[in-house]
Amino acid sequence: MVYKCSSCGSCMIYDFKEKTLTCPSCSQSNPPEPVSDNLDDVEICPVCGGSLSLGRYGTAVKCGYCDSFNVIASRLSGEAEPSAIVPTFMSRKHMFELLREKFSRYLCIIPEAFSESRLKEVIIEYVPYWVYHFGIRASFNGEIRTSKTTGNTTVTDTYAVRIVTDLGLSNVPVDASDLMPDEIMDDLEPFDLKTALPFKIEQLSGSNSERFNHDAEFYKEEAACKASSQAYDYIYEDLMKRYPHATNLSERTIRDHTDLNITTLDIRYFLLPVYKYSYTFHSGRVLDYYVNGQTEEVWGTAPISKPRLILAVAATILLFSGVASIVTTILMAIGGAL
Amino acid sequence: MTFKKYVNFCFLFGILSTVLCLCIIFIFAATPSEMKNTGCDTEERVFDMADLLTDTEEDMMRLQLATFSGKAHTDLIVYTDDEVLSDPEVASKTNQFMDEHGFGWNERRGDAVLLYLNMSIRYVYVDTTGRAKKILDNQSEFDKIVELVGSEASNKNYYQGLLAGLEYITWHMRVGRFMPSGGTFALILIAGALIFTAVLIGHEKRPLASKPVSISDYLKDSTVVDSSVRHTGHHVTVHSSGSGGSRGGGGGGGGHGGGGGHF
Repeated sequence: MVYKCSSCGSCMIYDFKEKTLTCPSCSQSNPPEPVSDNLDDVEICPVCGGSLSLGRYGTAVKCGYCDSFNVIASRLSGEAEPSAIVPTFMSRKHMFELLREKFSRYLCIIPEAFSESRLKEVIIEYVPYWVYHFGIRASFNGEIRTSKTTGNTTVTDTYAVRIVTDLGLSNVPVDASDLMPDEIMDDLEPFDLKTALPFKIEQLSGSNSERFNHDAEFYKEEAACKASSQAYDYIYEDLMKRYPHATNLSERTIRDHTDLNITTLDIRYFLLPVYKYSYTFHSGRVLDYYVNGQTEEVWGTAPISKPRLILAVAATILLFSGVASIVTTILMAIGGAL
Repeated sequence: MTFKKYVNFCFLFGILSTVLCLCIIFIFAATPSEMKNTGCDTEERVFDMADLLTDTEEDMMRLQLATFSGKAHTDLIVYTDDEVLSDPEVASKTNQFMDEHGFGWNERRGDAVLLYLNMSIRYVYVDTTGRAKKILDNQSEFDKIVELVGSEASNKNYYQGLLAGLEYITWHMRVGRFMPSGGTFALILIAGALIFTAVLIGHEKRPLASKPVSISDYLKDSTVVDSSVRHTGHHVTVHSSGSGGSRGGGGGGGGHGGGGGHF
């Protein structure tokens, strides 16, 4: 599906602030003129007939030939229809400003990496996530030693402790896209799902998106692992509050003495916003940057310019030549060589 | 700090301070200094016991020694002898001679070089004290002095031979005086630059730190459904106080160095 502006014919994009499709050319928000998918082959742009880089799971993509934003409605129906979408109100320009600010403390970055001319290379990806709700019964059964020193007296106590706690963990997200690197997506967490909106197909116009690559069962273990980690952290913090002078409590002890009984209460399918930008060096090396479209959490490494780094190292050597000269002269003066 | 500012600062600071310090060092190195040793019991620096030099040569030698000593910041002494001695006896005699008179540039028994020539045993010996002992400590240097002095002395050109030896000693002392400082300079430069470069590269290659997910992000409720605590042990330890001490000590060293050879 391509949403064309009824006034100027440009491709409309969804504006979450206005909650409607707007035309980037004439700023009109009139009802669009939708161009339906090519039913014979969804990977062909219905506007220009060009081939779309959709892949197996792609649901929204920009046509590389006519720049139309295609949303594949047939891949977003039935069980593939997301429960909700978390909107992003961040602009591409703001994303670049964020990257510039984050990397401003780096000395040798390539300034052109985040220049205005590259803004169009920024992509908004709506990443498919399975969101799990777990009920966990955590049973800690172990020995806790406390030690308190007053003056020259140390009092050591030992307790046999058993605590059973019921924990409710909600909105534990696991990205359901093989294209998005798991460790990066984990670093971009958390997302605040309270701001999620009911999903509508046109919301994907102007962005890239995929449907989930595997079903919820496939990612359940990963989600349970995240939830378990949170449960262990909770038990550790709880015991440290109860026994502030404990000497034998560590994350390892907690894991060894706590049994977790995990029950899946609910699973929902969300689309979460992630900005992606790739900078390609002259050598062909590519650096990827990801920004959580909601919390503005940034992932990426600084685009370091090798010539600048070499110059900085040379400058550093020269700086120390100066320092060494001063120190040597002082030492010579003190030692009587001068 | 921006890249431009950093590079400009490093270049400016590095170049200016290096040039300035080198100027200071060269000015001091080129400026003849005055002898500071007031403990020496004689003004004489030419002891021609073997009478190898004419009166005029002795006068000229005194003038040359004064010039060389100022440049080398080293007390230079010439000693000729005709007594038949063994090599260890020569070393012992010159050591005793220097200690008795208290030669030295900066202090009594300080930086000093005695050039000894004995035509009876055809022997040249260089006795060193103070910093000269460290600077002139290589046998090849002594061999060179023996060769310079000996080749002229063999032709009875004693004055020219001694002068050649003194010139060589002066040059070595002038250069050698700065050699330990050169090592210090290189050490600071290499160590500092390596550490700072490693820090710089480490800083530049470091990825952005991400905010870890906290428990409150996913945990919505928690209820303790069962708990029991049993006190199983109680132990009291009373520590006795103690005291410590420290040890220390040190020592020193000194004496003569030197070398020589027959020609």
